[in-house]
This record gives sequence, C-alpha cells and structure tokens, in this order.
Amino acid sequence: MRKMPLMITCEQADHFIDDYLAGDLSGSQCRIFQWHINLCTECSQYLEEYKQSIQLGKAHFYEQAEADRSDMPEGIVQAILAARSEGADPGFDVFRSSPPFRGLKLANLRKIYSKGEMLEIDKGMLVIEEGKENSNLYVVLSGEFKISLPRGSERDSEVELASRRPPDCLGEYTFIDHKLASANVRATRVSTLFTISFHVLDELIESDAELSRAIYRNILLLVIDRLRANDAEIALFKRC
Amino acid sequence: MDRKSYPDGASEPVEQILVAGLRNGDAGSFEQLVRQYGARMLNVANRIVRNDADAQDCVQEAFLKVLKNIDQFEGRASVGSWLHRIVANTALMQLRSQGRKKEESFDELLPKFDSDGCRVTVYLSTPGPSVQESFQSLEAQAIVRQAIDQLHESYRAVLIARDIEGFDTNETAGILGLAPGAVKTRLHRARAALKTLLEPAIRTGGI
Repeated sequence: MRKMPLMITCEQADHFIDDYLAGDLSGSQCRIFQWHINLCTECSQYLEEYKQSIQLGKAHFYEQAEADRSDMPEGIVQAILAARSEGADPGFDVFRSSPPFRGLKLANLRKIYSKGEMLEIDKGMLVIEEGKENSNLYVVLSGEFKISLPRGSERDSEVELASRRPPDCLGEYTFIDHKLASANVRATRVSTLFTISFHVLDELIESDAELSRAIYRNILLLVIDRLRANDAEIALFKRC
Repeated sequence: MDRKSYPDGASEPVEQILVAGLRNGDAGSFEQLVRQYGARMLNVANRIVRNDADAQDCVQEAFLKVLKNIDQFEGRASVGSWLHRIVANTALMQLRSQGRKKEESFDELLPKFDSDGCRVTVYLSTPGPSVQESFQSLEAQAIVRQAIDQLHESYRAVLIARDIEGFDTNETAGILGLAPGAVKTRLHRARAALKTLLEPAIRTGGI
C-alpha cells in the first residue's frame, strides 16, 4: 500500500488490532487506525478475516467434541462419587496444596497420599534434629513447627530461623541433598503431619518422568522463593 | 458448544432443587449433577487437554471444586455454565502444570511486512480439495478445530482462555501463570496464526 504522510504503516496498524477489537483504543488512536484500514485494502481484508477467524474459533471449538461423545463412562462416574468422600478429607486438601505437590495430577496425588502416613505430634516434640539423618518428607497438615539452630558448642543460645504452618513442608532439603539435617524442627503446639519416606517417594517418582520433573521443579521453585525472601531481608538490613 | 447454550437453569425450579441439595451435602444431588453434566464436561476438558486421562482428572477435580464452592454459586448463570467455567479453568491449569516445553517458531503463520512496514500478502497453499467444496457444518467445525489444535500449546491455551472461554487478560494470566503482557502478545500471535490457517477455507467459502 502507498503510504500517505502521517499515516501509520501496516505493521504499526497490526499492533493496534486487538485493542481496536476490544474497544480499548482512545478516540484519536481509533481514528488513526480506521484511517489506515479505510485506505489499505490489504489491512482491511486482513482485519475482516482476523475477526472471522476469532468468530469461527468461538463457534466451532466445542461442537464436534460434543457430537463425539454422548455419555459418561460409568467408571468415571463412580470414581467421581468415590472422590467425593476423599474430598471430605481436609488433610488431603492441605497435602495437595503443599509446595512439593502443588499442581500434580489427581491420580498422582492420590498415589502419593496413599503411600504416606499421618502423625499426631505433641507440643514440643522434635521431628528433625540438627546433625542427624532425616529420611522423611513431611507436610504440615495442622499446627505449627519452629525451625531453629540449637544452642551448642558453636552457639551460646538457640537461633530461631523460621516457622512452618499448613501447607508448608519439612525435610525437602535433605530429600534433595541426602545430607544430615541442618536445623532442628520442633512442634510449637499439637500438630498433624503427613509423612512419606524418601525411599517410597523415590520409588514412586523414578517410574514416572513427568511426575519426577513436576516434584523437583516444585521444590526448586520453593527454594527460589526462600532465596528471594532471604535476599529481600538482607536488602532491608543493608538499608538500616 | 458455547457456554451460552446451557439452559438458563438457575432460575428453573429443578435446578434450584439441585443446588439446594448440593448445598446440604446431599449425595443424591451430587450424583445427579455428575450424571447430568459429566459427559459434557468431559468433552470440554478433552478438547482443552486432548488426553483422556488428564481430562478425566480435570472433570473429577472440577466436580469436587463445585462441592467445595457451592456456597459461592450465585445463580446468575446456570449450573452448567458455572461448571463449564470451572472445568475449563481446571483444564487450562492442567496445561500449565504440564511444564514449559520448548516452543518451535511459527513465524511462517504470522503476518509479513516489507522494509517500509507494508503488509506483504502471502497465501498458504490451499489444504486439500475438500475446502474447495461447499462445506457441511461438521466439516467446517473440523477445519476450525484442526487449525486451533495446530497452534503451539502455550498459544493455543491463551486463545482458548481468552477467545473461547472469555476469561479476561488478568484472569488468563492468573490461570496460565503468565504476565498480562505475555497474554496479550501470545493472543495476538495465536489469532494471527489461526487467521493464516483458516484463510484458504475462508477465501474459498469453505467456512
């Protein structure tokens, strides 16, 4: 198209299309866009077909699928009805929203949940001890835990690092590095934990690459979040 | 199947009874809901995730979300429309949780401009003889579905969320874990690619 003075190019007009269709252009932007469309046959046709494509997508995306299948397999109906009673288990809801397991497929969540155990923890009980081996991943289903570095030869007093509440997890560092625990984890009140041994979890994820990727990615994201939070805290101290 | 095609159920006495039963935790009402809407919802999930097992997961999860959130159902839309939105949301989230795959370039489907910024019209070869003929409705649907399914997953997901399900930019960003700006960019590219794929059929009157 031959471009007239002060007229936007086709490429510039292309950037405006969606805002134009959504009615988000200002009055002057809209006039500039329409001026181009009125004078440019290629863009005018392009816009028309662009709109038609959107309409066609809306109109036909589902229609064929509905014709494809007319009834729900009985097995799925029964699975959903059975899941209703599981859905009433508040522990499962907390478990599935815990960082390592977030966004996993329902079938995988069920598999992992069924391989774990529930632990009732008394106030003051030590779940993970600094310098000792830990072989379980935990999810806090209720209550609260304090993470601290205990008083000892290297410290005059206990250093509190963080607290963990539902749906936080515990033991994720040792799950990855298999080293001895780097801090104490103690219940500050009566609490409930979901626990699964590293060995069992490893077995489950080793046979499923997609599940393995999802869990390791989740743990990585969790660690990144904590690093970012620490960075922000350090930055705050530097300003003081 | 447009969400608008669901009956205006919430105002219907039968649906009011169903909703009341769900609110009371009645097992029979839940089973009725599953049997009445299950197949349609499975279709919705299947179209989005394109995998039977994942679709079944989505539907199962969506029905449980309905139970949990039934008190938030305001009755402005039908239960079917509400359920559809929950299933679509769950299915789109499922696409997101499948992880980010390396995207191949699909520049050949995007508009071309010369060095002066003028549109260069490129016609794709016309796909097969069938689009030259007059189409029955089912064939037109198949062409549109195939075209959408040809888009790369992250663009396809944005197109479904925005243009087909009607989620706004921020909602789509939340569901798919993208920045709003990325949703806009991907939507524009997805629409442009879809337009290119449908162009031969549109121009030959196939659709």
